[in-house]
Order: sequence, then C-alpha cells, then structure tokens
Amino acid sequence: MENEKKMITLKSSDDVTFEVEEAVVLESQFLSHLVQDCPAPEHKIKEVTGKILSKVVEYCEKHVVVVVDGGDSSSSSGDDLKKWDDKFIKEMDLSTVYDLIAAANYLNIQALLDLMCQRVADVITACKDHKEIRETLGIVSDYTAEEEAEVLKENEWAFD
Amino acid sequence: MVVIESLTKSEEDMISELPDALICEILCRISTKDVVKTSVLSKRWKNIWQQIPILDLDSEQFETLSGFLSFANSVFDLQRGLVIRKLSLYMSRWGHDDYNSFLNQWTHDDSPTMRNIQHLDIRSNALSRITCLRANVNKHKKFKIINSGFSAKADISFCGLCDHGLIHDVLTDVLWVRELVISSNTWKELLVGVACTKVVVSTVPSCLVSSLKFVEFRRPITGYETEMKLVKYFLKNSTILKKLTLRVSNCRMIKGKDAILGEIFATPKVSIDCEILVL
Repeated sequence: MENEKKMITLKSSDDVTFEVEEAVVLESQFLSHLVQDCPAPEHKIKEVTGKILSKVVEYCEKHVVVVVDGGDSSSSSGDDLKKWDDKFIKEMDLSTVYDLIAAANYLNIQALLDLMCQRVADVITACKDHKEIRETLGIVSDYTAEEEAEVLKENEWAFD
Repeated sequence: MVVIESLTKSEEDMISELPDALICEILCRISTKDVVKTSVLSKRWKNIWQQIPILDLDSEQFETLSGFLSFANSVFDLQRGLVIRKLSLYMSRWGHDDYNSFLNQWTHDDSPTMRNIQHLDIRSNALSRITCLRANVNKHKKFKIINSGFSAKADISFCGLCDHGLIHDVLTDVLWVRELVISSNTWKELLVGVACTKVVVSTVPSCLVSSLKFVEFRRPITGYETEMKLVKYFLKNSTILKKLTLRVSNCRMIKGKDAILGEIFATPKVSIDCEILVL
C-alpha cells in the first residue's frame, strides 16, 4: 500500500522543495483547495520561505491523521502531540513564531495558528508590566512622555 | 543617525509589523486587563485592543463601581456594530442597583451590542436586583447566566433558532428563574431545522423544578410540531409552574385553533395547579 500514496511537491518562495504525502497537504485548507483545483505535481508557495515552510511541513506531518486500512483513522495520541507541540514551540525564536503565524494564516492551518498565537499570548501574559512587554517583544515606544502619561491615565485600572 | 536607529529597531520589533487581524488573533487569548495594557506599548498599539472580539470584565479589578461601569460602557460604545464573540461579565462587588440599569441598557432587545454578542456569560451575586434580563439568542449564540441563587425574570427571544436543545441549554444555565418569556419569530425555521429526536431532553433543567412559575409565549402559536412540543415540554416538566400564557394565531395556522388547544389541554401537567391562559 505504501507506494500508492500520492506525493506532492511544495516549493517555497526561495525555491526550496519539499516532497510530502497528499494527506499532509490536506492539513492546510488553502493547499487542499489548490491541490483539488489544480492537480499539478508541484506547487509554488510564493508567500512562504523555505525556512518557514520546513516548519509548516514538520508540523503538518506530525499532526496528519493517518488513515490505515479498514477505514479506522488514528493519529498520534493527544498527550504525545501536546508534548511534541510544546517542544516544537520552545525551540523556536519569536521571529520564527511571527513568520509561522503569517504562514499559518495564509495557508489556513487553524491548529498551527492557534498554537503560535497562544505562544505569543503566553509570553505577553508572563510579563509583569508594559515595560517588560516592550523589552521582550522589542517594541520601542514612540510616545512622548506626555502622551504616554495620558494613555496610562485613560485606562488607569489596568495598570496597577 | 535617527533613520538608522529606527531601521534597526523596526527589524527587532517584528510583532508590530503583523497586520491588525493577526495581532488580534494573539490578543484575544489574553485577559481584557492585559490587553488594555498593550495600548501603552507604542502608537501602533494604542487602539488595537479595542478590536478584540472577546471581553472579560470583572468588577473586582476596578476600584470603584463608576470606574467599572464607565469602562464597560466605553468598550460597548467602541464595539457598537462589531461582533463580540464572547462577553463575560463578573459583577461581584458593590451589588448596587446600578448593575440593573447597566445591564438593562446593554441587554435590551434593540441594543446593537446585544445583537452582536455570540456568547454572553454573566456571573454575579448581585442579580437579585435584576428584575428582568432580556436577550436575543440566535442559533450561534450561547447564553449563560450564573447567579448565586436569587430569582430573576428571563426574557429570551430566539432568533433563527434551529435547535430545540438551545432552550434546554439556556434553562440549564439559568439556575433560578421565576418567570420566563419566550418570543420567537421563526417558528418555521424551528420546524425545518429541528430533528424530532432533539426535542427529547434527557435531563430536566433545575430551574424547571425549583423556581420557574410563569412561562409566557409571546408569539402566537400556529401549530408547528416543534412549537407544540415546546409548550408540552413545560407542562410535562415544570413541577411548580403556576401559569402558562399562550396566544393562538388566527391566521396561517397549521392546525385549527381547537385542535391546538385540545392538544395542549390534554397534555398531562406535572404541576396540577397550573393555569393555562389563552389570550
């Protein structure tokens, strides 16, 4: 059965190619439609770089639901997947996370989008105040001191 | 010099380069209080928090009642016309009558805010003061009121209701309801959309047993099967029901008026003293 699996080649914006099973591609709503509408063996994804696409492929390959003979479907168990997800995001710097958010949004992979957004949300929540958020995310304030004081005063309750 | 500096820094600050919609995706996973804090990060972030469709407002986080109310009111004003995916209101301090006017202002039938809330979750120990809570519930909406045991009147209008189970869900979540007013202008949809098996409800919501005394169907009944099942459901399950008020339509009827009323009056009532009033 193994050799009957349909393979599809994805090509990143910088021409890195990935050969994946069709089932992996189906994790992405965008790619599912693309593959259905245009049954070419190779698809170029101009909006995603090779570095990011390799992460997307890695994620989708792990999360793909494997349909085995007899119609039963199985995938890695919930706990295993969660552990894998945790490791997957822990090893990632924030700039990769942002790129993956944009890629998951573009390719329409909801679970990956959720995972990455939650990661950033956790980073923000862990900060004790807005100064720490700025530091962590590399945001530079362009407020003048007066403007900043005004914004702080507007919603004073949130900054205790 | 200034240009170079800002270039270097903008490279570092990649999150601010994400489109608003994706920043919102991130922020809707954060409590409203932390989201509001992001307004001070930089000018780019000043107003983004106002677009977040998930809000949790907790009176405990405010020093004064007026602070809580004015923030909630300003947020609702900003969100006017936008879809609020989930609104959680926790009102545990003060317990003044002010909550009453606040809720009535934002939850009455024609309130644009209310029409756009998909999931409303109210927790309060001050709901004893609320005599009437009105809400539109459509098929996408979840509706949940948890109070600490005081009776309230729930006035619920079901729009585009396709799933009979929703009524059960609403009643399950409303622990203590003395009076229930139901109006639905889409009984037809009810009929088309509902599978008969869904009408069978396995557990009886506790308010039907413990507190519900008055039920009123505001919309004239025309004899659709689902509609009849709902009326009978109250008769069969509300143990202390005192009065069930119905209106029977004179036009566009599925069944004759006599047939409808005959069927209703023939239904065994679990509350023997219950009066059925036909207007």
